[in-house]
Amino acid sequence: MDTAVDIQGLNKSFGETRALEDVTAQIMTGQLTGIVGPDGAGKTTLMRSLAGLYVPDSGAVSVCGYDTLSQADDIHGITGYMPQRFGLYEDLTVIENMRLYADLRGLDTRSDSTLFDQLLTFTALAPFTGRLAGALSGGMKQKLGLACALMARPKVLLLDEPSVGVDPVSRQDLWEMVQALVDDGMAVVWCTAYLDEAERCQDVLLLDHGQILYHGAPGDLTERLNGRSYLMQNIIGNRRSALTEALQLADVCDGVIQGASVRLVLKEDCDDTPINAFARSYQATLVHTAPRFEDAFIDLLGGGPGGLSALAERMDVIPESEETMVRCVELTKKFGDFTATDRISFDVHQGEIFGLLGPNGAGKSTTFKMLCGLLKISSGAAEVVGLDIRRSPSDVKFQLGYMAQKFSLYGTLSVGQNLDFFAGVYGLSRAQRHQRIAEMIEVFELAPILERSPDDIPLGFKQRLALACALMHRPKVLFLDEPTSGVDPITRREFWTHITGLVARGVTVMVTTHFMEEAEYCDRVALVNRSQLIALDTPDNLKALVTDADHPEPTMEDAFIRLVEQQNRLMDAREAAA
Amino acid sequence: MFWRDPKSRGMLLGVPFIQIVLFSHAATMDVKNVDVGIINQDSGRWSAELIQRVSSARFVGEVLHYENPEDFSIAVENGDILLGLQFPADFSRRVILGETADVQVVIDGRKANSGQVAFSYVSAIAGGLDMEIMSSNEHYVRPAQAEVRYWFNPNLEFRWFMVPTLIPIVSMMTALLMGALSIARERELGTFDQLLVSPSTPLEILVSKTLPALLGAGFVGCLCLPLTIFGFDLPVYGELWILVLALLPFIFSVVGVGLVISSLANTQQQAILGLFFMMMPIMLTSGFSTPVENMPEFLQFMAGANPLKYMLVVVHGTFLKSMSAVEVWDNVWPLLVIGGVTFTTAVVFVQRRLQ
Repeated sequence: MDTAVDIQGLNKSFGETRALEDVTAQIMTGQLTGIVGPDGAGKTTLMRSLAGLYVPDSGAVSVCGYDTLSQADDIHGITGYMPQRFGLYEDLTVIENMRLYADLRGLDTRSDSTLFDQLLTFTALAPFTGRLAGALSGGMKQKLGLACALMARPKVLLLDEPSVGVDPVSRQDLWEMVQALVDDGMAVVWCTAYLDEAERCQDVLLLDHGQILYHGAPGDLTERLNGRSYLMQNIIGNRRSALTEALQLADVCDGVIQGASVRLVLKEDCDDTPINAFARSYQATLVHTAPRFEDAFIDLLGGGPGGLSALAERMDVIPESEETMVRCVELTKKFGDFTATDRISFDVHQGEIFGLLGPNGAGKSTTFKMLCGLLKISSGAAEVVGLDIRRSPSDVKFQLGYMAQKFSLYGTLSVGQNLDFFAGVYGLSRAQRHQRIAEMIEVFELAPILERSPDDIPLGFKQRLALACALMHRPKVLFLDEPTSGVDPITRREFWTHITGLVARGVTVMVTTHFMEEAEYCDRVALVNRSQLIALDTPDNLKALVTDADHPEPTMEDAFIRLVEQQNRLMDAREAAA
Repeated sequence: MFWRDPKSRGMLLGVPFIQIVLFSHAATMDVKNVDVGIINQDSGRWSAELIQRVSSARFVGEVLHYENPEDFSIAVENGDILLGLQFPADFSRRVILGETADVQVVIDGRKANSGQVAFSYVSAIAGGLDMEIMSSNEHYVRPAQAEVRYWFNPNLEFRWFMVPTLIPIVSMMTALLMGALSIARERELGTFDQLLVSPSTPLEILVSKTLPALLGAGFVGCLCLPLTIFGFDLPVYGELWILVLALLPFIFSVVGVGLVISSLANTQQQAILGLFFMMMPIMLTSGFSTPVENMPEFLQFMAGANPLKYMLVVVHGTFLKSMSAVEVWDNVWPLLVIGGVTFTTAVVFVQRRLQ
């Protein structure tokens, strides 16, 4: 195997921040190399350095023997780089975008269309060549970006978080494409915050604070955890409170909810007697399970955040009620001739975490937006906390909190002013405002960054601030729209600690996500595809639906993909018949 | 929010200042620095006298002498001279004989307006000379003549007309910009959804967008007042407080137009495009560059919905004549109507977008 990329003693700083510290590594051809690490670890800086877009402070990078500094032009000829948001021209069609990138590369595609035909077949975009890039779904945009990055037939392909905001079905397509490229002998670098993706790479570079913590096959790192990963099954009682308590045990390094079970990772050299005793207190059975790369990752970074949420402790307990917190009855939305959601019905009870899942463009966002009052309902009815959304829209809004995917915060206001603003929007009295803001600053430890703009605080803080703003008025129902998209596992765990805590206090949570591990936190999941509700059950039951001899232990992602594909086949057959 | 961003802050304060200085000097219609070409085939006293007078006139820049008509026409063609005077060989002789002596005046018709003004200046000079020659004749009887007196602007200083119009124009630009960017900016950043899920109604949101724009543009307008009055030594015959009061409904109506643009735009870029699209017709049909009365009827009708048209009347009225409060009100109530209509439209558009 040849070395495709050679990194020698690379250093790069931005002002005071040292983004990369003495990074030395080799990336091989014909291999898929993953670059992983928490937010701010220096992943993107490394990617951009490889693409020759950053000048290193010291050290050198060579790609296929060319130096990124002195031979930058040659580098651009042999690398394909796909940044987090690939620069597609939204007002141009798919084929026009491709032509543009071909022209930029100086390729003659007009006389010889074989390259385009290949790329279009490869990315399965052939039926959509006339569509505007802006009208494509997230997954299709990434495929088009990939097609454009592949235009120069690169020897090294650099992909920076290609799967953020992409649904599992499209993600699987993307993986298959990349695997095909690797098999052809290309060196592919896949930068990601999702560790299940890292697990599928042949080689992994784990970065933290600009340094390489681990470099090697993911399996070798995971192996170190053999015998330390456990699954607590058949829990009697609340699995979420079991997790919260487990995380407080001295021997537990990390823990997450996995369907009805709790996954726990033991600290190094610890005995399993205490957690066995703990499991018995929930009358649960503790079984060994195969470690995952994520377990090893968290372990390497020194364990996850604790299980207690300072936030939740401050929230008032919402009295238990039998009332349905969110109810949809035959909820339908039409845009002209197009039915975006077709007669969707479900009930959500108090203290439930309810997940809304589906491929890009399936109608889950539309459903979500109707429930928040961001879209008018075409027909059917929706109730939040027993109030009809159409009849009393403003009363409903006092009951719900909404956290958008992009953390809608005002960049021109300081952190403190953002808190003030959102408290004001919900019409809190002066005294209440003061008290709640002080509380939020305390529980989220926002004091040191109060004067800064949300645009330049770390992602973890941004997420806390967005959550603080959404909770200022103590909503009974919290709507989370892809809350941890592109967020690293540690920040994600911290976020879910708060959510779990809130739920324990009686808050009801509605969540949309493309990230199947997040779906595991849900009590029930509604799967939406092609505008229709195709499945509604607990994560474990959904997994059971697709369990057969060939797939004895499907993941949530397998369940998602197979259920969606089943319905697609069914609908296609019905359409063909009609 | 606008204020915390240093770039927006600079735009809010710096731009009006630059606009006033630029506009008042560049957009002048006074005729100055006119280059005059002369072909003199006469060698007598009177042509020399007239040339002398023209050369020393204030509006003339350079006087260029040409020997042959070819050079002269080339000079006109190249735009070297705006106006040319051609004296025939018998010019002075005819003057002395008391006959009518003709001068040919050539004007560059491509600059019709300045050419005409320059021509009127030259005729006045020639007329003055004519009068002197006549009155030296003892049999001269002074003919009856119309004496023109320009009211409100006795010296026809173009700046007296120009500078006051800058107050509404500059505050209009600020108001239009702040209005147009307001919602579009939040849509682009995603914060608009966050507002919509809060109990605030579209009406409340739009009111909260209008007030800062009203304050900002009002502030800019008031900043322009001392700048224009002291910086350009303008007379103020009317009541300034009436002007300041009238400025608010004017800004309200313009912010309304901005909000309509904003409620339709998804991005700031679209909003800015919409703003430019609106700017041209507003300026053209306002009476700023050409009188509204001279426009075809449908344009006059359109001008009826143009807030700037009413405000120009008010601003000229208060600066150059002492316009009464009643007359001002005649021009202010249409502004309130325009503002009301545009604001309501913006609210409806925002509500409709929720579908």
